[in-house]
Amino acid sequence: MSRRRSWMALLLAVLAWALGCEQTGRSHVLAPVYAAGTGVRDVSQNGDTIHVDRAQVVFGPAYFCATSSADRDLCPTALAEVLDVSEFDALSATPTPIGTLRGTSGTYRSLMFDWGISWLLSASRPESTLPALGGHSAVFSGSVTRAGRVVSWSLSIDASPAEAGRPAVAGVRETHALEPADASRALVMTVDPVDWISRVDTNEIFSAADVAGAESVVLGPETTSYQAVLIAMTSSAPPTFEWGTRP
Amino acid sequence: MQRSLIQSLLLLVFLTSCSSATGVGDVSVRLGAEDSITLGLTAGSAAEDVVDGWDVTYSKFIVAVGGISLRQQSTGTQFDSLGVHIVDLMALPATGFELARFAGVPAARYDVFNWQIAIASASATREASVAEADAARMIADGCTYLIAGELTNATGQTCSPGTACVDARTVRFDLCIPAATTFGPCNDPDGAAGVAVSAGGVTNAEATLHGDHLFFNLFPLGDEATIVRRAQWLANSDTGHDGIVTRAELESLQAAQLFTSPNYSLAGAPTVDGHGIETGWDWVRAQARTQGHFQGEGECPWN
Amino acid sequence: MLRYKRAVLRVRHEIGWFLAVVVAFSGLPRADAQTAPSVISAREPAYPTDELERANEPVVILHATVEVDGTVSDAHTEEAGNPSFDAAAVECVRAWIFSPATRDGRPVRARVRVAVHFHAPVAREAAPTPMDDAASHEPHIASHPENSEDVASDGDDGDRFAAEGSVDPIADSRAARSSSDYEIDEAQLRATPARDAGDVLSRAPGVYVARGEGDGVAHSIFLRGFDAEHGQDIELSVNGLPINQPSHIHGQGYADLGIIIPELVSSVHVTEGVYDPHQGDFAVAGSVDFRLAVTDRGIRSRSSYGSFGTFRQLLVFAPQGERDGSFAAASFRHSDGFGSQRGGESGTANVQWEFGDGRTRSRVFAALYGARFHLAGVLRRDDVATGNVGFFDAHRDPSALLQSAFAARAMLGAFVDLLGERGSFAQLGVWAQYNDFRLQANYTGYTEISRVDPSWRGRGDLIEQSNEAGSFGFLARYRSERWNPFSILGAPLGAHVEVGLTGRIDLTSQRQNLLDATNNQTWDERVRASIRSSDVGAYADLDLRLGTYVRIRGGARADLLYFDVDDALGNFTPRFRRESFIPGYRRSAMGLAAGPRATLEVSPAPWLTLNASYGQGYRSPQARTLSDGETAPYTKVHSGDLGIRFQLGDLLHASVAGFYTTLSGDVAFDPGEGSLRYLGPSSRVGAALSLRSQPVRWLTGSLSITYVHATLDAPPLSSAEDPSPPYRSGEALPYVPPLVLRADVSARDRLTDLEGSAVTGHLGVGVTAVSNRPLPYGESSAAFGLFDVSAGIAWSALSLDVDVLNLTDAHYAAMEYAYTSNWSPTEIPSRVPARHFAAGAPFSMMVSLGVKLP
Repeated sequence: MSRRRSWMALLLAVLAWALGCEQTGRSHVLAPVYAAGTGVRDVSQNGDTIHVDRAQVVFGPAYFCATSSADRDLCPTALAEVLDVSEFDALSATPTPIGTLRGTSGTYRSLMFDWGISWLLSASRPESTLPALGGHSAVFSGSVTRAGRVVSWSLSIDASPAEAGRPAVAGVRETHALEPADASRALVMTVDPVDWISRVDTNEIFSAADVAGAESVVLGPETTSYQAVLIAMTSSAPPTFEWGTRP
Repeated sequence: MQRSLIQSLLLLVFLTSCSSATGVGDVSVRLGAEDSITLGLTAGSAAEDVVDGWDVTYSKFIVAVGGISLRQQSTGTQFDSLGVHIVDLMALPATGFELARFAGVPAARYDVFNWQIAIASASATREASVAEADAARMIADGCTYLIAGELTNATGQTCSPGTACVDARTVRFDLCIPAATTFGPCNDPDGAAGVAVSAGGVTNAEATLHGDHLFFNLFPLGDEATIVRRAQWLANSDTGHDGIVTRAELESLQAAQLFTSPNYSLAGAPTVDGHGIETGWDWVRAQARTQGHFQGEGECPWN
Repeated sequence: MLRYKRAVLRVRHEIGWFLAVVVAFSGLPRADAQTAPSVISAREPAYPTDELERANEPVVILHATVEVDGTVSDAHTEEAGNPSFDAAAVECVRAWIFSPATRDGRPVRARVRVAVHFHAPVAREAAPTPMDDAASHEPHIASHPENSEDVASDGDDGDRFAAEGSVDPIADSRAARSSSDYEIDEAQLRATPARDAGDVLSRAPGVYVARGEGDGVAHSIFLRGFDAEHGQDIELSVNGLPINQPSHIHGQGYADLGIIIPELVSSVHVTEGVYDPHQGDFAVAGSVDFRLAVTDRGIRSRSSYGSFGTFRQLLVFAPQGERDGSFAAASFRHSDGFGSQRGGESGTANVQWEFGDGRTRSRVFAALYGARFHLAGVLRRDDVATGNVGFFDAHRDPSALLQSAFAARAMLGAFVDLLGERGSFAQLGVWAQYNDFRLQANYTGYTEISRVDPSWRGRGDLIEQSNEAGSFGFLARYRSERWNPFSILGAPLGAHVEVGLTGRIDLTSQRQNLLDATNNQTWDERVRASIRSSDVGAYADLDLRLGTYVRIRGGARADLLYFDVDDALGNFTPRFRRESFIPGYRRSAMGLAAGPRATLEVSPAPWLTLNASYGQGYRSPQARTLSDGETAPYTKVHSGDLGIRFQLGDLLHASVAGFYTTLSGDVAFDPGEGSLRYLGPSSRVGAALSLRSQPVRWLTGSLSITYVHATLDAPPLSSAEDPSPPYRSGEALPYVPPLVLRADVSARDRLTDLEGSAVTGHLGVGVTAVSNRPLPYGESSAAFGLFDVSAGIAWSALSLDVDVLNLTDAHYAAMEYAYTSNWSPTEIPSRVPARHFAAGAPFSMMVSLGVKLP
């Protein structure tokens, strides 16, 4: 209503309020979102030790849906969303702010999101939405130790959506209530990059090192390790979300 | 004249007072098989074809199905059929197989239609189309599906991970798959929820199984939209190169070895025993949990 | 020497006993084969309220022209007297119905001289005149002296006869059924400017009318807690012809009022609630009938020019000597529209002619309408707030700039009224209509994917809807003579019974596609269907009077509907499926909707009426939502109303009503599909106050305030998209304004005389106020108030008017929604609902020059 609103409208608004504030069944939700890792950097696999030095991840956008099968078709309208796309250190257990959750109250049962690469409905190809990390979804590096031999590895994941308008990660089942804003609360996303990296094939790393004659390998998309981490990030080991107090 | 007018008025009032009685009808819930089950899939470049050169034919597509539920949300009126039938979709008559019949259903739209693929058990009814041995195998292995068939490709090869490719014109598969799933609430192909029961007759509702999901390149939730069908991964799963793919072979292969990006996407895949897809066998079980539809192409979310 | 007939008519007035003596004479030379006009029915003269204190009982002598159909086409006083009594007498006599004069057995036009006696209300208790012995209160003609030659006012010694009068029986059958039954008369309608019939309708209590989607698309109407969309909850008709279109692609019951020329509307009958067995499909919130007539006879031209390059030309042909219901009129309008993307043209023609004599009245009505306008569409609030788009602009996107609406309609109807004895009548009517509609609108920006080929996506959600329909219908009703079987405790029992039959067949062809705005390519096909539907309704209605104070009316109505749908895209085969069948889904369904309606009316005093009403109504389903053999699921409404009416002459008409309605299934607009989606059962409880006053002859005023608490009564149905939608007990229905206020004040009088002709002026002010409206997802739309002003002056054949709408230039949302859209296809899309609105018209002024030929 403009400043030229008539006194009559004001009077009516007051009267309507006095007669009972008419509301539909939802309220606004606004909360900060943080990302955190587990703080763990090492994992054993078949006697080998995998150490993760770096796990930088780009997250967003994310949509929280009432359906239990969040995807383009079953979630045309989301309960809430995080439209920010942010990079964070997935190894740090300290929550990092990555954006704001905006939406309406209700129970969300699943979510869908991108790891920094989105395929917009009108676009011809998926594109990175944040110029960080060279346009990749995640950049990992570390080493693997087998019987005293240490081979460094690096891995740059591109978690691209399979088709336009679809998110890279869909149907992640999480059930939480979204309630009206409580200034002390925040939504905390927890990722476990070491769990993801645990799926790499250490034999493949050592073999690649042997072939290359170097103690450092780059795990590209042609490698099983790359595909395993990608599957973990996009399907089998998605992040979890919990409401907590604002850090 | 006046008297007859008043009589007609009273008659109309009487009739309108009884207008809430809308009658009852029967509902026949039938099991139907998509053409991809009975006719198989063909290799080709068209949108409905298998794009990597393999023809797919099934010899058995046995399923344990039941747990039919029809409910009207507004009134809570519900009809259930808990019985489980073991049926071979390859032997279905054109009119399908009647899974359940609800009699005396008040005519109205029942906006929730659910059905289940169940673990075969001794209490399930084995239909005549299913061999006793096959039913026994399903019961013993706790399966919901027994799917057998073959892939054929005149220039086909099996390229198992980590091994050299070998020629394979035909690759058979015989899989007893546990993939218990509840489908629903289902929408018909035009998006209408459930079933509208008409009075004084029989309304048919078809629980439809699709036979091509095993060969999808992704897990569409809702509309199947732009899927692509590929079968090479199954041929590659014949790690023993004996011409038949087994459960053990699928379990031995990582999903990352078979379903590589960008040709495949596992986003949105249903979980299997509470975990994500790790192996080729997990993929089979997960895709088996997506095959249920309604009235042909109608969509049913899975649990 | 001429010989005249003499008539004496006695009527009973609500506020007192009147004896109106009518002395009529024929202006024709006497001939053996001639008969003079005689009264069939006569409306009671209303005693002017400004004369109550003086309690004079004058006789007003008038000259009236009785047409061949028995109606009075012209009446004027023999000599000017007290203006209040003169006006009341003229108004009264114009409504009388005569048996026409005849010559050689053929009806001919005649002039009569009539004397009307006014008796003040205080005279009610005076000694009854001999006429009180008349047993019946029904119209009947007593013995007529043959070939009366003379005429005399009351008191003459000439031949006399007596007749007992009552109101027109057809009008009587339409009398109010509840305290929420309103007749918006010409004085109210002319008080303030009306661009179209939607503005006319907004005069009714509890009604808010918006044209949010733009010209060329039907109005959105809100009535007493109902979001009636484009007509789904209101049965709309013009001169008895239905306007609602069943199964329309843009919304069930779609009703475009553009076919009505607003200047022709002489009254609007608004029935809020469902209490009348005449009410059929779509009468959920109520019914509205626009009645067209031209009382200001002559040939008229009115040219208007004003804001936004708007030009309007109106021509009215209403020759003197014909009945008010006989006219021909046409209007043309061009406008560039406010803001951007709202330009277009429309043209409307309305023709009606009435025929027949006093007992057989016929009329033929025809109407044509065509319109094409660009549409600005809806805007996101956040886009306006950030300056991406102006409040009155359209999105600068190709698919937004291609939004437009086209509508064409033709109506033809013929009706015959046969008046019988003792209040009986029969009415027969047939009608035919043709409708064409095409809409291009983008509500959601860029969110759609082609169903035909899912790889086609993101080309703009420009929905193209088309709907073409041919409709044919009839109505037949018969009301019996008054039946007086016995008395109860001395109070005579009298009853009419009416039975009626209505029917219509609609042949509809409709499509919905997605268009690529840059090249006009169709990139998805959503609907391609043809629908045949029919509706046969039957009702019976009892009108029972128990003595003087109690009237019981009611009966029942049943409608049988049949649907035959050929849905060419049913069982659609997606491109990635092997074709194993021919797409299409043909189905048929039937359903019966029936329910009672009843009204109890108690009039303990002439100025006071108490009403209690109950009724059940229904809305038919959109045919494409039906499955084969489905028992058509009607949306059923239960409506109850309790109210009081006061009537103190013209000084004050007041009504207070409390109402309660429940609806078995509400629906609301779904922007994604441009159509309606199911919400769930709902209820409304509220109250309405309506006041109308004419304290002095030149001043009229009206005020209505309606408050309603509309709630959703059950959680929305679960779906795959939302297995358990949030629901709060008593949550408000979206879009419905709880409070609607409308006030109109108008002054109209003779200012002076100039060269022998009167100079008259008028000034009118109208106020509309709409409270906050709840929106889905916890959003709310702001309250607003609008002031409209009209001023004009007329002299001789000329008139000059200035109409100002939205005087304060309030920036308000005519319609507001909350849903998901994406107008930035190159940015990360939001999927949470956002507020969208359609801007209401800003300040606008029109100057009109009128020329009238007698």
